[in-house]
Amino acid sequence: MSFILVGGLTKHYGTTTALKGIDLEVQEGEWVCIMGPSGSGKSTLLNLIGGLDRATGGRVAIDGVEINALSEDSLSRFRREIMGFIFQQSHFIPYLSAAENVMLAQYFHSICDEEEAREVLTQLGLGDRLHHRPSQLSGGEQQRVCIARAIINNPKLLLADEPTGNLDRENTILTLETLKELHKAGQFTILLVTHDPFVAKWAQRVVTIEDGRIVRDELNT
Amino acid sequence: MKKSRWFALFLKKAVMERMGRIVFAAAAITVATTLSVVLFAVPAGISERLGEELKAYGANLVVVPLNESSYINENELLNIHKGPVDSFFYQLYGQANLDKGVVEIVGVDFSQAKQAAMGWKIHGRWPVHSEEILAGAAIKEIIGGMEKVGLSWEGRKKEFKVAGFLETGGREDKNIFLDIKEAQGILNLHGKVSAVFLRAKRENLETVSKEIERSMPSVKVKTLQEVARAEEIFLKRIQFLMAFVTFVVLCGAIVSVSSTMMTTTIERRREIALMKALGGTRLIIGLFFIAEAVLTGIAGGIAGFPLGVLLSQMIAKSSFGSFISVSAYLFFLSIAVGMMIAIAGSIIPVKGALRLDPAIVLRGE
Repeated sequence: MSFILVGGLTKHYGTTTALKGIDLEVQEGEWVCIMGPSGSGKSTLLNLIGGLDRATGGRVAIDGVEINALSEDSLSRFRREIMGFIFQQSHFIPYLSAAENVMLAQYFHSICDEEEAREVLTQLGLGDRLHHRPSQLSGGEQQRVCIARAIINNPKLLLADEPTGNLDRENTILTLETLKELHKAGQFTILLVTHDPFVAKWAQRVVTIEDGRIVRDELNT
Repeated sequence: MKKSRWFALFLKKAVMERMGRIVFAAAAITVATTLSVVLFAVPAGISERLGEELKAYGANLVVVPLNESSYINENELLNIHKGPVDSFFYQLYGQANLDKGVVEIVGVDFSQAKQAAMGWKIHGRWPVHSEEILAGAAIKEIIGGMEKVGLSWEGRKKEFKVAGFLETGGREDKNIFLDIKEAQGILNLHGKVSAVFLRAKRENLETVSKEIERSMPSVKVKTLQEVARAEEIFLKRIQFLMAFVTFVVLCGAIVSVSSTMMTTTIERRREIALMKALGGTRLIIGLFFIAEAVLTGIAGGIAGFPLGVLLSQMIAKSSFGSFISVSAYLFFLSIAVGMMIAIAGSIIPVKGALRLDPAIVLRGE
């Protein structure tokens, strides 16, 4: 059984149709890149799979759970158990330190383990930035804090929406290397949205969307 | 780290981050809690004081002549003794000369007064014979604490020993109380009294009044309770007015907190969206905001209590001429009112904020 199963997924925003019947299957442990030009519907697809948005039609099942059938709070609980998010813009609680921002995800999930948060941040090269506020960190450092927060609860699914969109090439490579290492070690599934072919090369499989439809689905060799 | 400790840490940082707004909201709550304390403290304090004054009277009926310039014959008063009266004492009013000017003298039967005027505060002791007097507290200042005072009238003079000083906080403090027979002699009103103060059971007041007026056609009976009732009505009107003002201020404070919370939640939309994306349920996220509001309410309540007490005392002193005692439970009431305002003002903005769509907010739209 596929870990992610998307069938006939549609999404309308008023008179605009963002997704026009998407069918997609992702196996557990895969790193899939969703590529496409701006406005193609790739972020919408990611938000629907992550349960951050509701579909107009079709189905999304993750690990056997039909997420469209879940209530808002059940969906929140499901999200914190199964998923980790990395956003393009580094969304943080601005008055909390890097470690505390990571602990926020722990707080919603189960327990607040400061030691574990510190360990993960140190693994990602932020051992000396634990008590810095997000505004005191560089773009690359902020993105690594986002990664730490996304993986702190050992999610089965990592959803990344343009995680390198605001980074220079050096930090992009650093972020992708980090994800690659974590993917190898963590056995989690990665669904990464990008419009950058360089980023897409790091994935095992690339799904290309144009105008709300999947136009290509190919393995990276 | 325990979740509760982390929650407290988060709350502390969130509060510190928006201290200006929180102080503004707390100030609005403080105004409302101040008035709430006044609303409860002033009527309660005044009622208590009224009760004390009535108790000081010791009497709830007073018999006076129909014609204010005449007197009641002492022998007519024998009828009163037969009725259902708990206690009574006569008073005869007049004037005499003290060394330093004219003074109001009051003739009383000290044995009756001792029994009936329970609230009289005596510094010293009660007179035990007709050569001794009680001087009002204000007289003490005139005579300078002398052991003996000389009263003169119509070219005659007599010295009396001061057994004690009387303090009631009322007009009695300016009088000299002496044995009724001595007063009748000085005023040349033998067998006459100016008024009789009676204490009867509340349920017997009307019967006793009617019986006295029937048997003594030349007198009228006043119920001191009527005075108290009039004051109670006055007090209730003030209470109603204050309740109305407090209600308006409470509503104002709720609106103020609500608009502050509205601004805060708009500012923090990304935080809320992020928390939702990280798996926070509406209840858990809502608790962060409600806890922040509750803290603001507690701060407003704590600040409102001393201000309320101060304002209550100012009102009591200026309107009723005396300070009042304020119950400590009003401190908790103040905090409870503060919390109530904060929660009431936060519910709608927080509920609205929790409905936001995280995908849209996190996209930056």
